[in-house]
Amino acid sequence: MIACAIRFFLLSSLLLTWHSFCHSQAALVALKSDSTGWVLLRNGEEHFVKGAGAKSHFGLLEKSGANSIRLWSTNKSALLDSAYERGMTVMLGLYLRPERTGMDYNDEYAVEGQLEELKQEVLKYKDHPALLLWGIGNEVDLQYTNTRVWDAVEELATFIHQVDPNHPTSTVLAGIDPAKIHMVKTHCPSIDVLGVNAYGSIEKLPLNIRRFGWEKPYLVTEWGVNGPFEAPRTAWGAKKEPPGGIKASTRLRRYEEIISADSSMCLGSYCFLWGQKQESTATWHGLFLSDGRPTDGVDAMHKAWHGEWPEKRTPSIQNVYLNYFDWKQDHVLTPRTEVNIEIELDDWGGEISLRCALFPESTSKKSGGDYQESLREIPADFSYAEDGHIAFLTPEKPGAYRVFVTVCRDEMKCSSASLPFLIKP
Amino acid sequence: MRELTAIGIAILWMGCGSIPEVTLYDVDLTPTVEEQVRNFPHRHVFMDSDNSTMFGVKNHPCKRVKFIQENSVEGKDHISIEWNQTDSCRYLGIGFPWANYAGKNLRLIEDVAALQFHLRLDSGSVSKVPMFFSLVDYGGKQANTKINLLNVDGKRIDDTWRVVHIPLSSFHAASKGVNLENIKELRIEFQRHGFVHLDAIQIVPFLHEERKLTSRGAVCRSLPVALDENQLWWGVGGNPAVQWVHRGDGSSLSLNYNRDGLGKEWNGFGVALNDWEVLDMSQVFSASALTFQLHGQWAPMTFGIYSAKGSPRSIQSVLGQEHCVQTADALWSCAMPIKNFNRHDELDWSAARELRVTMMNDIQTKMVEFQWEEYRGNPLKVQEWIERKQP
Repeated sequence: MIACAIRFFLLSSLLLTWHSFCHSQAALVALKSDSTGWVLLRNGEEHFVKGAGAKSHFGLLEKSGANSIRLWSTNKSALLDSAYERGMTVMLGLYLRPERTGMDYNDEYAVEGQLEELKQEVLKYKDHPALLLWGIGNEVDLQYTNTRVWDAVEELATFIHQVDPNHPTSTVLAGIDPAKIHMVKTHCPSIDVLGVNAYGSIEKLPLNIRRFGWEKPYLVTEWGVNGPFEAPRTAWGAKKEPPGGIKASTRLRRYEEIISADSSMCLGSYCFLWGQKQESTATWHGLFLSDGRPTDGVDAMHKAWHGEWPEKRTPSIQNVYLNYFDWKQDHVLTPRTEVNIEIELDDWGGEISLRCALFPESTSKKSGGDYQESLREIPADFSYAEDGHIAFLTPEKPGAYRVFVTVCRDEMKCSSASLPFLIKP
Repeated sequence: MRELTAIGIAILWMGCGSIPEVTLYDVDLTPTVEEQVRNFPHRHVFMDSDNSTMFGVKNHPCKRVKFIQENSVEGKDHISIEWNQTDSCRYLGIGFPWANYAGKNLRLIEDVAALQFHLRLDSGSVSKVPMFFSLVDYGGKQANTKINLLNVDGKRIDDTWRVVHIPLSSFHAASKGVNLENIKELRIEFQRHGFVHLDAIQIVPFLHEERKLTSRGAVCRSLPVALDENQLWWGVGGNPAVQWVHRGDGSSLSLNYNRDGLGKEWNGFGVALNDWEVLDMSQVFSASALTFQLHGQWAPMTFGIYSAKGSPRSIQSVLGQEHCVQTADALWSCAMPIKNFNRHDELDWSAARELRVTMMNDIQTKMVEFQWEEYRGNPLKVQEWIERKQP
């Protein structure tokens, strides 16, 4: 059965690839600079990147006005075809193993082996018509000390320029500082575009790009709301997650005031994440819930890319209260006590439904967006009053928990909020 | 006759002198690399299903293991494994407790042997297969590695049998705490999805030369370090508020900052301590200070020292009046002992990288003779130390 499914999948992929390649050819992508700044040209036309880190929901992505997706590696190369079918381009990642995962960039055997693999990937995908640019490594600078990683980046960038003159090269940093900018400038002269993943630090990104001396164009390759690693914490270390409405308006403001405002050096951006992932919570970065329903963050990106809101807007949670104290406070509760949840909602019509769920607090210490296991829901009895008040009995077992509230319009589009709380006997 | 005898003795003596010394056993008994590995009693990990022990072969929805006779390299059959990782089956693997679970001592052959096997895909070609190899000891510790394309026959993985070598040394067992003298099993773990054929897994002689480069960092053994124009700076030059000015006896930093002015965000600049590579200052930091003179105005500034690793990543101290002595009109001599920096003992000084200055208030001054120098004084009595140094 698996064999059948995989063969069918491979056959379909091959047919799609054949179809794509037979009817198209590699796009010619180039960088141009003049007195007004840098632009990215695709087949001679300006291509300001309105992108997302996306592996699914491509229909809604296209409808929302995006024109590009970012892939972190070549592992899911079939998505190049999916993007191409929808007229979208791809920033294709070449996964260089970061030092923090155990890679030793002083070990020539390991480095050369890795480069050999990636060079084969370049040859495989360089002529794909959806390819926009190469992303060599993602956050290899995060918690690193061995600067030889930049030699590996440069070797790949040089190779790409030799075999693929049609696509620019980039490398993606986990935020910027003067040292990283210096390293890329001096060790990686074949890098054409700097990719920067910036969450809280996006606020000063255009300034710091200039202050630290980067002179080529840049792309904001991951951005969104402030990450869990930047969030304020409760006394017991739980991260305070802003409600969906606050996150959506933060996204829109950052796009309008920072990304699209820096027209001279910024070539566009990839918002994070057009999908869902567990990173401290199940709702922090994802623009979709774990069941696949879009959130108010999707509406914000629609407004950012199209310039106007979608026809049917998603309700948006602006604040959430536990026993009358909002999400910014520390909530310490006693076992088996009834507590109230209230929300402040921007409601744009339609039938509104409410759902709550209780989870243990995440204890993951992972960084850099590394994989975190999803948590298992704890059974709890929530009672929903008609006036929107919610009540539930706190767990008996002392410890750190988090309650999630989800509000949906017509069960289709949702906004969520989460509140950490501590049970103390 | 006597002469002939003397010549004869002389020849005999010379001849004796040129006879090489011969040891009783003139045979080098040290085994060759080949012999060392060939003598290893447990070379065969998997040759066919009849003569090998395996676990993890039970099929389930994410993994199917089969033994196929057709097109095998060794023995009567080979392994074919097809997998598709999902959330419901995050661990997918097979194992070989070869030699019937005996504790295998690989220590003696670690540097001269490799795991060799034949590998092919069911179809197509890839540059990497998401499969990882682990040597597991009887303490349960494991050392992992993966296929390196440099040691794949033809540097290709496709639908023809390719010989793959994984040097035993590439497992880096010692650094992972694995006891190579008591290895229990070889495990192969699979990720994402794939379909491969495997055969003839064995240990063979193999010379793998570890090529390790040395670190680019440096060690600071003595002070002072001049923080002058020869170092790499950021925020100077392109920044209207901070410029180099040249005097007859050297250069100084001209600070001209207006916090309500046009370039109000350009309030910072910094210098790399070792060309942006790390500098190990652990031997010198505790008895040191940043020193400089201000010619013009005095104003508080924040000084930050950054490390490339550890927590905290940076420490800070604010220049206060207590750090400076006014030596003449509009002339201050200042020192900021490192011991005055908050959490200075927590910074990882083995990886110091940057010194950063942030101007907090309006200032018009020149920063002269900026350096990191030895400080042998009470960190709470900085002015006394400065005065002692005055000519």
